[in-house]
Amino acid sequence: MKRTASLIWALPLGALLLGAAPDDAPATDPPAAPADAPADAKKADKSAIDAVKDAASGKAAAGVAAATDVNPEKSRRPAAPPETFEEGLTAFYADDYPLAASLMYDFIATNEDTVDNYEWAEFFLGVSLSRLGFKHGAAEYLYNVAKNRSKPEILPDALLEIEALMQSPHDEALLVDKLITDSDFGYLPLAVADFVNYYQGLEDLRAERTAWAERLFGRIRKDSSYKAKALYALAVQRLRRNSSSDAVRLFREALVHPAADRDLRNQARLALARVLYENQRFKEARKIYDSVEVPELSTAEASLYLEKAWTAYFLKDYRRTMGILYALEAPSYREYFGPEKFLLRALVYTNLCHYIPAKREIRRFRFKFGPTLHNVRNRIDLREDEVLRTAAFSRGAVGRLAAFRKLLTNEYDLIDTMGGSWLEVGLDDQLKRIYELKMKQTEIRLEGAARKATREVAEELVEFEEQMYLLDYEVGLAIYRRLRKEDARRPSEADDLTIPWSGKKAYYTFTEEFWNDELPTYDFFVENRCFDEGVQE
Amino acid sequence: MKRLLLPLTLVGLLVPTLASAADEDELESGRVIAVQPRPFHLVHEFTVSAGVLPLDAFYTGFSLGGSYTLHLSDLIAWEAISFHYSANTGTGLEGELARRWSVAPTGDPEVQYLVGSHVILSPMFGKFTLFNRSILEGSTYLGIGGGTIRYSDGFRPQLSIGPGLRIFVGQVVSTRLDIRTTFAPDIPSGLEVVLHVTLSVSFNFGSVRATESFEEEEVDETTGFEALDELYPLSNPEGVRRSPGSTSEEEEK
Repeated sequence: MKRTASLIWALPLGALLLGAAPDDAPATDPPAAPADAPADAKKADKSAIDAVKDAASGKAAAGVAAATDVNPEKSRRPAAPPETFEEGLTAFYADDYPLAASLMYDFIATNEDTVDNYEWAEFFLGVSLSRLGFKHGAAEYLYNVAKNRSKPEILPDALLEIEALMQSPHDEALLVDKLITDSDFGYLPLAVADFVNYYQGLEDLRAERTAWAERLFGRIRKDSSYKAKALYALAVQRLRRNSSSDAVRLFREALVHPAADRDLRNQARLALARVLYENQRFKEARKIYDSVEVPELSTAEASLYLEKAWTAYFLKDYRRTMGILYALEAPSYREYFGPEKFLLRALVYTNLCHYIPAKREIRRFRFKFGPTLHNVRNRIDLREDEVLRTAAFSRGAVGRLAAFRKLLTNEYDLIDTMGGSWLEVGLDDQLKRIYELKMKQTEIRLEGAARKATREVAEELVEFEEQMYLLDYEVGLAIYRRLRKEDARRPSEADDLTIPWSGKKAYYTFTEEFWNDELPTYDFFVENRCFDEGVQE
Repeated sequence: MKRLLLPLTLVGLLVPTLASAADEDELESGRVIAVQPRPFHLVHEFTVSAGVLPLDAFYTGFSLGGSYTLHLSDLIAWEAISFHYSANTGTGLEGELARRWSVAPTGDPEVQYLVGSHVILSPMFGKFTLFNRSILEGSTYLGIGGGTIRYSDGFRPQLSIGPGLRIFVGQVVSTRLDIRTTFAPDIPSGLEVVLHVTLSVSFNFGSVRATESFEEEEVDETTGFEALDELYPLSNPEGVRRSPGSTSEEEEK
């Protein structure tokens, strides 16, 4: 079992490195693999763009440039007069964003990009689309404004809008790689400069240019929320370099930073709990785990539960361990890929000398993952396996890309709900072209990334299967283990399995009905059947 | 042979049963129970009630009243005193009888007020979902007790019993629905049955019950960060402040 335990100790560290980034700082992941990630991303990006170019050749989207996707094919209609821009501006400030978007689009679609106010029209079109819920469409136009910088006075506002767009799933290749890290913006207001310096520093961290990254992070104002994020990113990088002391200091500085938001504080707590776990300070780790707040019923919560379960297991709190594992059976966590659940349950049963239930858990593992393991052995394309695919698409960079694809689909469906003036100027067609192209590009990128991600998940699964075989063998041995007569006692009195009639606590017996408010409070009432000290070491 | 057959048949019938019982025992691998702190702790409860006495054919009583309940545990409470005044209005039956049949009733006495004391047993506590949106906590209980009823012709002793439902609004406020059936002897004619339905708002005060001693619970105030201080003494940002770029090693030098 020690082998199992050592494997498990490695898991939270891996999870930390993979999922260490705050949600709004997607590029924090790469510090986990700074050497090869950018190269892979670029390769995938290039092949995707090439493929999209092929796919789009000869079609109506010919006028859509692959680089930004938004330069509209110039309309054959007469050029819109400057008054159109003025009307669009009036509509924008009257919060009539659909009209503002159509007028601004009409202006840029029928005029050359050298005309006065062209960039402003693009900016207002981008902001209007953003307000209407077309986040990606907005990002494309704002990208144009920020990238071209022909009107430097719009740049700070455009970057602020882009910063807001980056709070939800977004095109990282476009906004982060091509725009922020690949541009020199010159002088920027401090708030915007913090944002830019953070992402540029993060890119340097990815590429292991630590000194450059620290110089950029050093430019961030001390009271900026990006300072806290920078501290966190540096901490992850230190952890990767095995400089735990420094990493812990930086995590703690990020945690107490006055501008750190709740997500970042929770990420920092989680990281510190994992450090304590790695140091086998389980009791203290559990305390910090308990202080971590994650969105209810999310994959992050399922992952947190699993870590808590392992911590409870090493504290020999088997009742709590099993309680947490039962919570993970709730329908809300059904999508969560957790082969460890079965292993941990089997381990607990074995430790309590419930050998048949332990074997049953091993069988359940095989029943659940048998078809997937069969697929792995048959060397099919792993992306075709639903279990592996779902697991891969819920993790790290692939997960974010999948979320972006979903956002594109949702926003594409939204285009048809607009109509009116959009139809007259052709904005709906233009947006459809932009979204279709991006969806194809994202799909190709996703399929490319999924190959590696599903392989990683499959390897993880195969390792767990190996652990299960080992455990199965050990359970078989334990069943026939010889006991000395003097050890023949059951220390179940200490288990405190009696339930009072009344008292300060309410006991709700679980009847296959999951109540969300009960999930964190499950207790597993089980007798210890061991005939020795009570627990096998 | 027949003598042997019966025991063998019995053994044959019993053995599978015993075996399956053993299997079940072997497969009995614990049960999951959600253990949650009771969200509300009732101690001194003051109740304001409005109710109705609907059963009498000649009048309907509309009651106003209140009670004080001392909670001894989550299971047992003593509704030490309850008082309900009844304002009665005729149902029109008396006039109907007089008009149609020229009959006058014998002048049944009417309830004027009820005074009682009850034991409240609350074995059931649970949760409800409200439109699948939120959770409400509640309990059901049974009140058993007695007291006296003031009728228009004098006092009579009473025994009463009835169920109730409590929905908690918060630690202080809860709402109650009580349905009490009261039996009052009407000597010599028999037994008067009075149904009393009340809807109440209760206010709870206090934190320590008479049956509980005030114990200061030992609270573990450690946060887990002490271990980090111990493992990485220079990691506490409260103690040491450095620029993000510098390392502990540099600082130590």
